[in-house]
Amino acid sequence: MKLPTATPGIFLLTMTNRLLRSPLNFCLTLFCAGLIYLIIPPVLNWAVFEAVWHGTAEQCRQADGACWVFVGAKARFFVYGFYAPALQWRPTVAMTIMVALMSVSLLRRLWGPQLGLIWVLGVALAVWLSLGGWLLRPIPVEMVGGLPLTMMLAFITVPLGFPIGLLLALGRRSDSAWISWPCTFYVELFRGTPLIAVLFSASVMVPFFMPEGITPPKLMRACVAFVLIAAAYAAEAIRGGLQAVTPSQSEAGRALGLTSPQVIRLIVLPQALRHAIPGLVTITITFFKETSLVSVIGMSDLLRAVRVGAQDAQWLGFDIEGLVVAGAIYFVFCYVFSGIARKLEKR
Amino acid sequence: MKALVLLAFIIGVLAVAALVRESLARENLNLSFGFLLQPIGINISESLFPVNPTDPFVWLILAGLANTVRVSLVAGLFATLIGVVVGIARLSEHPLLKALTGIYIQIIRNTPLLLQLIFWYMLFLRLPTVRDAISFRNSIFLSQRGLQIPDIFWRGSSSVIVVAVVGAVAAFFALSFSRKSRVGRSSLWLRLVSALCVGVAVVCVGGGVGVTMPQKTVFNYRGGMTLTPEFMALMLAQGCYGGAFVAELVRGGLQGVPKGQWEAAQSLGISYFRMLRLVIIPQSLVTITPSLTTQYISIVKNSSLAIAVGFPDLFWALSSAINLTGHAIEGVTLITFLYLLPILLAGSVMSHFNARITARGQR
Repeated sequence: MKLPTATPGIFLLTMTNRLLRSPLNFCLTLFCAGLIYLIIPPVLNWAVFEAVWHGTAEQCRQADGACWVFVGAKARFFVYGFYAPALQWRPTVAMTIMVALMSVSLLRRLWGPQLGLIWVLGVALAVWLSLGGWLLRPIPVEMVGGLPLTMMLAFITVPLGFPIGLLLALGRRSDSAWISWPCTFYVELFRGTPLIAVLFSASVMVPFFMPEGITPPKLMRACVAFVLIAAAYAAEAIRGGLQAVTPSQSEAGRALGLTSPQVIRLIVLPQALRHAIPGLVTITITFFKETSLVSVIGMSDLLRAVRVGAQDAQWLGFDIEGLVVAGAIYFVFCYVFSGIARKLEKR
Repeated sequence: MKALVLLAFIIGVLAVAALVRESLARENLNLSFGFLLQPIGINISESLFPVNPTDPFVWLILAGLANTVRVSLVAGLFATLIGVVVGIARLSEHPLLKALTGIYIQIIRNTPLLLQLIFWYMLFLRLPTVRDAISFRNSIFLSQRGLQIPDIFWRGSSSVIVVAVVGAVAAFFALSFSRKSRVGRSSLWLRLVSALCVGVAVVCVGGGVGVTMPQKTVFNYRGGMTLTPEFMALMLAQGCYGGAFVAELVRGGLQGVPKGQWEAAQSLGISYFRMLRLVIIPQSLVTITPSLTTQYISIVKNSSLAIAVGFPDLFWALSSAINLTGHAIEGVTLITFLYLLPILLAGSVMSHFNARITARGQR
């Protein structure tokens, strides 16, 4: 509650009152103060005061604190992976495009079919920049790594899974059991199996489904797995959106003389998707975190780059600094975008 | 239209089947589950029961399943405890408490679980060696090898167990017929608890219940129960991660209870905690249980991350089987089946529980 004449003095008074109002509050204050005392000074000591900001690995090993020299030396590797240093402007531009795409999706004004078009163009541009092939020098797929890989995996697979998820959500509502049962089965299957199991299964089983001689690269297998899972999650989000549209809408459409597919396309879907977009944004943010799982099947995303960097003979033993940096990057991205998405949902 | 979809589906399935058959012929494999009876050939790093390299793969998978259940149960318990405490704390007006819990929840929710797991694991690997282990009263040791705690063992015969069960059942029914147990709805719990106490008492007295203390040898410990760093990292990471989500659920559920209920309960003059326990929490269970089920399900699913730290869980066992025998398709079918089954079971149990709660709430 904001008092009409809120000043710093009144704020302090209210806070102090709340901290000491009752015996319980007083004990809680002591407990929290104790917790802060136990946690903050050692962490600050490690991260700031005893940390080594400039110098060599030897100086780092002799100091007690964090070794931020390691982060500085390896920063390029964490962000870009094994990408050719001279061409690193390309993933940078690709990442900027993808962040811009994400920000643009949160503007309510642009919600509609044009958003889909913007995404398709933006993602195609980002992929062309990273992998090359037409006018730009092609890059082998194994070289793409680090933060661009994490972003691409999240931002390409979720939009690709969206149309499949749309079909699945519509199929679930179908009257015919031949269509609704497989759709339900698919969604429950991919939501019920652990992500890592699907990733692993895809990378192990895809060779069986390919004709002789074709072994798709790991990136493609991981993408296939993520698209399948994203379709299942998107189907659930869209189903929620579809349920939010009252049946009277489709009845009104039917009364106007529109056929069933037309009712869905012109009346139900636009409203349903508008309800579902916050859910889809949440899915993209969750997938951004879940892409870290590809480090388990050996792909070089941000998390794996951080761990591999700590295994460099010169910089052995500084894994925790790397993990903290990677965690900070994930945190910033997820916190900012999920905060905005939550504000969207409230409206 | 539907006929077209059906036709396309059938053609697709036939094409895929043809491709698969060709690939199998190429690799000289055949689709069969017989590989489950082949000897394993590798060792398992920790398990609830002994597994030899000569045992069949089924045994390895069972050991992995036991490990998954073990870690999921403990992590789920931990997550529920943390979640309930932090969720209720989030509702308080105490600014420090709200700030601290808020920071905890934001950090945990916005970083990947795998990263947190590896972070905890790295912390555990930095513990001192066995020689310089941190010890508490010389009976609990924390070191690189994990946490060593005293282990309870029981020396007795199966006849003691039979007597214990009979005694527990007898106590249960004896209390049912006693006129004095008119304590309302809690009489069922009272009877169950008394029966349990009787059973445990008979078991303790009938056999020899003893405690083994961990003894320090040169490189490791002897006796006692060991909680490996992998198990503890998995348990802590999942407990904290699940706890943050459960806390948000609990807070949302408690805030979903109508304001009028809070005010009416406050006007009764009972203490805050009694108000929570008797009025608010029972009503919030209606909204909390479905989401809580989803959380428990995701804890079970996320336990498969154990492969990243080397904890031998169900997924590790199945992927080892696939890698060692090459029967990928059967293995993958097993993975989906074995993970879906407990999840569907848990879901249906919880929805039954949920139905009972909603029915009660509508009285």
